[in-house]
Amino acid sequence: MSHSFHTVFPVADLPPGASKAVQIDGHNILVGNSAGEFFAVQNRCTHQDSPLEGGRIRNGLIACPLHGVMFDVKTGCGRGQMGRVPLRTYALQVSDGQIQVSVDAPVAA
Amino acid sequence: MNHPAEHIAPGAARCPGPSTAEIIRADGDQPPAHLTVPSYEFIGDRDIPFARYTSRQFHELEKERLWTRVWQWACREDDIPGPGDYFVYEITDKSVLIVRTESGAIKAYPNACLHRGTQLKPAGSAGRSKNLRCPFHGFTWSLEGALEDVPCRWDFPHVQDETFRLPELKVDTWGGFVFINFDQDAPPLAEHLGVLPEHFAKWDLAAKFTARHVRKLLPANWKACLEAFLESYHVLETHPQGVLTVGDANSQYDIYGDNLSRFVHLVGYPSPHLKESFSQQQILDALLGEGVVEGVAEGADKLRVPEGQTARQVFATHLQGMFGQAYGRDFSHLSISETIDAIEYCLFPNTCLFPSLLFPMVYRFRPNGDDPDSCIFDLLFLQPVPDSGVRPDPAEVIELGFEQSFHEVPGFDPGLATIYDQDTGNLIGQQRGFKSSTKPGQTLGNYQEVRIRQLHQTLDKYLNAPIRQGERA
Repeated sequence: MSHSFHTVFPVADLPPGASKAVQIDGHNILVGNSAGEFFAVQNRCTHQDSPLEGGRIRNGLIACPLHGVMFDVKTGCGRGQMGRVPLRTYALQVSDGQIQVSVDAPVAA
Repeated sequence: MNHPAEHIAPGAARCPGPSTAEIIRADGDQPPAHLTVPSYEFIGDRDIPFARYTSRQFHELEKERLWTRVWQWACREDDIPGPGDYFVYEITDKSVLIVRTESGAIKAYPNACLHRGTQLKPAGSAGRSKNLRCPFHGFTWSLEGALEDVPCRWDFPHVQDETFRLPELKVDTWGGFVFINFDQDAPPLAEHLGVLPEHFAKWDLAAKFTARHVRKLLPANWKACLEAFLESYHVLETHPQGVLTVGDANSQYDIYGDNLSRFVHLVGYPSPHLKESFSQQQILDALLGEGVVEGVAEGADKLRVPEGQTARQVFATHLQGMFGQAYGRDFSHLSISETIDAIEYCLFPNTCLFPSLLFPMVYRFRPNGDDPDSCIFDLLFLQPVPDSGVRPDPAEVIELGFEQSFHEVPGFDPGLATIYDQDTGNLIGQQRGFKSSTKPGQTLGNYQEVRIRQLHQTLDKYLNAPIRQGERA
């Protein structure tokens, strides 16, 4: 079974600490750079539905701009009472300097 | 029991043998001049009432007269590096929102919405947001504190933008620390710091990043917890494993005005309690065997003390090389004392700082909310920013509960974890002892425990300051 990866933007558009939202097949996805490693997670905090775009990324965690709830960008796992529900994570690959995200490919562990 | 101290003036007696200043001078290098200039005076010998640690009323008084009037550091500048970065600081039952604005300035706002009071950001949170939006109804302020949005504005004709700016607390910075003060009439931070910036002139804490941050709950009043770190009198009894390699009874204690104190605690010099004599090689071997900080003994198996040198010299040179390699920096200009001794400053009310290479620690002790019987202990390791200039992300906080050990912190040096466990292990016994004692207060040593007395005397100056409008009599 083949999975479709969508090219979202060039690697150069996303320096460490940056994140950008992108819509793919109705999914609101946040693509970010955590100290040189790219990730893709749902762009809605599981606590109060606030967009995560622009949230601080530090030590592999993104903090929701509204409440500061922190989520591990690789696993989606949240921290603390407000982070009980994990974020959905998406498969991501880099090809020819382009970041590609899939909404149906399994996420590598 | 004899009383050898009774024939000389109180506070004038010292441990027999060479003084700390004499031992540092004998290193034969160029330590900062202030290090070997004692700054002690006798400031009294009355007992300190235990009620100051246990009573609810005293805690309330501290809340009203100390914590709302004193300069206190809330976070590191590293915690809020860019516009929109924020940090929530808590002290007793108050919460403060520290924000980096678009212009790069730092603002501190009471963490409460002007609509119905909800905290604009939750307790303990930190992160980045482009504005300050209340999570309850959505009243929104700019980072600069200007009212930006009121949902259903039609219902608030009585809300004026000008009167709905977020109120500001005083803010200032030193050494990479962001200080706040609730008191609009407080003297400038520089006045509060006294000689601290001068003594740290060559030890730029702003050029360091938080490499480790452990936050532990301690089962005793914040002052008792802090005081456990203000003297090395306890070393012989509490840390018996260390007496071959550290001074204790011969430590130097200094006080500077109301807000600052210091001890200089020798490393690489045996406790004067030990009657045997040791070779410099034995002392060096013990130093390397202990591993006071992680990795100290790496590559040091064959270190010898050459004829005519001391364990302090060889240990210092070894550490300068090791840390130099680790941080890509040259530390060979440091004196032996600045490299290896525990030179600890206490800044009133609740912080300890070390200008020494082997001791990268910062301690802070806060009341645990409104509980006079427990304390939040922050332990930070500040390490030099690499020469590349790229600041690593500050470490996330590792939280330890009352029952947890420093040995549970990943990567924490086991020797050091044992020391902190020993220090904090005494505290529950002390807090409970305060309450069981039929003697009303504690009796302090005139010299070795002078920093504790200074702390209480300065605290009293805050507590006894004139009552202002709005404060309880």
